[in-house]
Amino acid sequence: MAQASIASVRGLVQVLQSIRSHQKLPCAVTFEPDTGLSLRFLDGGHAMQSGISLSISVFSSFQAPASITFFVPLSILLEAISTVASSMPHEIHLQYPGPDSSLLITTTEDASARTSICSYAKVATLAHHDLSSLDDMWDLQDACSQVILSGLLLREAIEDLEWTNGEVEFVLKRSPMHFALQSIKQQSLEITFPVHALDGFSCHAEEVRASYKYKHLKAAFTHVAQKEAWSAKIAISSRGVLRVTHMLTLAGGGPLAPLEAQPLLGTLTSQGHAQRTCVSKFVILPHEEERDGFCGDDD
Amino acid sequence: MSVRFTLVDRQLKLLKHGLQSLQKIGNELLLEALPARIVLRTINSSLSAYLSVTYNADFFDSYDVLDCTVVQAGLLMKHVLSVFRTQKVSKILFDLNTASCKATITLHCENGLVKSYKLPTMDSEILQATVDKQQFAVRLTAETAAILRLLSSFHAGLEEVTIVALPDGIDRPVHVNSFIDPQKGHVDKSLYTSVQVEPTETFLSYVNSADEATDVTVNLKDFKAMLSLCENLGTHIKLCFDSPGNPLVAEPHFPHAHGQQDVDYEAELILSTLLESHGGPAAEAAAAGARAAAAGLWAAPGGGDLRTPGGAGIYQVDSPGGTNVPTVLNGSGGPVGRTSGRSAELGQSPALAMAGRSFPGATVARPSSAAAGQSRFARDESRQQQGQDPVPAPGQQQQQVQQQVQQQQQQQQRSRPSGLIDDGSAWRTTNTAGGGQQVQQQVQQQQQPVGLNPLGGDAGPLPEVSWDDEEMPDREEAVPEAIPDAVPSSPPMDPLPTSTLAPGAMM
Repeated sequence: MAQASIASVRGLVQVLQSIRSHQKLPCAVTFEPDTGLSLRFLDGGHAMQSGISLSISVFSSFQAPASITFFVPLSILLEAISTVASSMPHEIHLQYPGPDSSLLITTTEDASARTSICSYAKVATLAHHDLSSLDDMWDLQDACSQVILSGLLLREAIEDLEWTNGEVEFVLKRSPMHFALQSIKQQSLEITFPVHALDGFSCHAEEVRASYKYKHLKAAFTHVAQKEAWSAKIAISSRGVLRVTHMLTLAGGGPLAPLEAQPLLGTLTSQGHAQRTCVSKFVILPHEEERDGFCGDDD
Repeated sequence: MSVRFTLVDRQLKLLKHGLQSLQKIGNELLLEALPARIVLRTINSSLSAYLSVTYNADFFDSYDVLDCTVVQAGLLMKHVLSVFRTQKVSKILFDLNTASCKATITLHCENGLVKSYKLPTMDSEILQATVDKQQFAVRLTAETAAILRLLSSFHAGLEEVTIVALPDGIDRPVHVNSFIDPQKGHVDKSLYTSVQVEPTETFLSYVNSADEATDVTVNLKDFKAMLSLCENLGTHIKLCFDSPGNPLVAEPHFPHAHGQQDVDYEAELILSTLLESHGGPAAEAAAAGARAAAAGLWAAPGGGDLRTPGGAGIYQVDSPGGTNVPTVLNGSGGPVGRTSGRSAELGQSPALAMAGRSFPGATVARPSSAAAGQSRFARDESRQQQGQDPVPAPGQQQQQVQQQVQQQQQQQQRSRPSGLIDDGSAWRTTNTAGGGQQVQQQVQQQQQPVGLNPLGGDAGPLPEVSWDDEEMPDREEAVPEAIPDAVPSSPPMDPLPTSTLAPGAMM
């Protein structure tokens, strides 16, 4: 049996909302004894994968004797956690397998609270699905271009690009350093990011261009509810596959588990910051008209 | 041909407020850039409201009109306003190039993002309205907040209000009343509000040079567009109106400006008004008293012409391509309508008048993309565009007027709205006798050959007319032929009772 307790209930809900989807499709939940809890989700069009990684350090307690993976509908999982967490409990507990092989979610109030309310939810699990890893869509052998910048800027840019209602093109230029997003239809919008905001910029070619469907970018950038600035890394492979990594901070919570080593984006962070950080990742295939004809409608 | 300008800081907010107010009137932004200024205009789909906001060249950080003397283009309002959704913008660059049919708006945001919007332009007809406000009888200036407080007395769903100006000497001579369209029904069930205002206590200035009561009925939502602009600009508001059928003009009044040169932007809202008077019992009482005092001064020539002074006709406009089209002339050979010092440098633009409502003296051109409205004040757009004779058959006119008679008679039979203070006065007899006779005369007019009464209320779209001198008197000589017959035969009204409200108080 795998169990995990987390005190940062509000933070957990916010992080899970960053990969929310209206599609009633399964997501894979994995308890890893070494690395913590992860969720993976593949959208209906098989053009985007999303996932969350919560390291052991963000939990107040974590037990997983072996690697356990089960499947639950993502939308129902998020709804269940949001519902039991709506009363802002002291802690939230996840346990698998629960009764009838379900995922059991329970909450406990603070010992000093005047009322003691225990809420619980049982989420029925699904049969095993063949859900590939996020990294399977990303070929490590491919050369890639990458840049690290503020997630707030990216979210604002993607929200503005909804205006054109068209595909969004990422444009990176090596010299002079240039990163922009543009969408061209009857009306067009181009958003250029300030050079001083671009960290770790590298471009594998003189100019790199790749287009993606707006709905995938909206899912990857605009569902992060965090108000404080966070770092986001964008990488585009030579085949045009886009990988987005958000370093999110869990808000609230009580005492933390002992700090573990956190290789986060190759940068050093403060110990307290590392403990509260989780990773939200998206991999998006480029938009090509031939793919649309082959794969059909995502929805 | 292109126009470019840049904006920073305070100008950004002012431009945004202007665009937001324009959006409340129409869906299409008509832009006209001249070397000295840029004018943003819009008109609503029913052609009953026209708003223009003018920014002088000094308003901008930099302003250039290149390769020509005037640039004209149309833009979709929602596209332009979507540019201003971004908060915290440090600078805006606007570049409109008619050759490429694109407007490029570049935003430099405080967070470092540079957003470049490219909007397609539309080929729209030039729009311009000129009104001689100085000839209007009633002119008032008020704090915007005072007008907003006054209008807050009316329920939120009210569509139109009637502003009544009684002659000097009457206590609280300005009334603002709800107007409920009897054609829409529910007259008896609607909330009726009347606010009586003491000008000296509410307005900053008030002038009424009319000898008798006058009133105008305007759309409240359109009027509030100018109020919100004045509120955002931090200015007072100035209103000018005259008589039913003549437009109401509203514009910001800058309290600290000493002249036109102190202000680098201005705005003007022209609202059409109902042709019929809806002044209510107080206005009719005042009118009856004035007529009784001035008995013998009015003559009633035959024909019962109900046209408002100034008249109007069908106009056509100069297209952006510069083709000349004929304008309809009045009897003196000049363009119909009074002019003011606000005529554009391009000269008089002929206008379209509207059945039921008109802009006598105001010339307004309709953009080609404006949709034909179905309001009772709209013209038959499709027939006009096709160049067909827009005049309905005489049989149809007869039917319409007979319907009017029936509606009037039904209205007269209704009891007066509840909640109104019972002063035992005008609800007794005035509406019954006068209204019916007035409409009977209208029926007679409609039986006359087409073209003699283009402003016959809701009788239908205006025909193309040519005006003879005899049919087009000057304003000073205007003789309301029907009015003496419309005077009720009832005895003079008792003076209105003193209200329990404090002077200048608002309901």
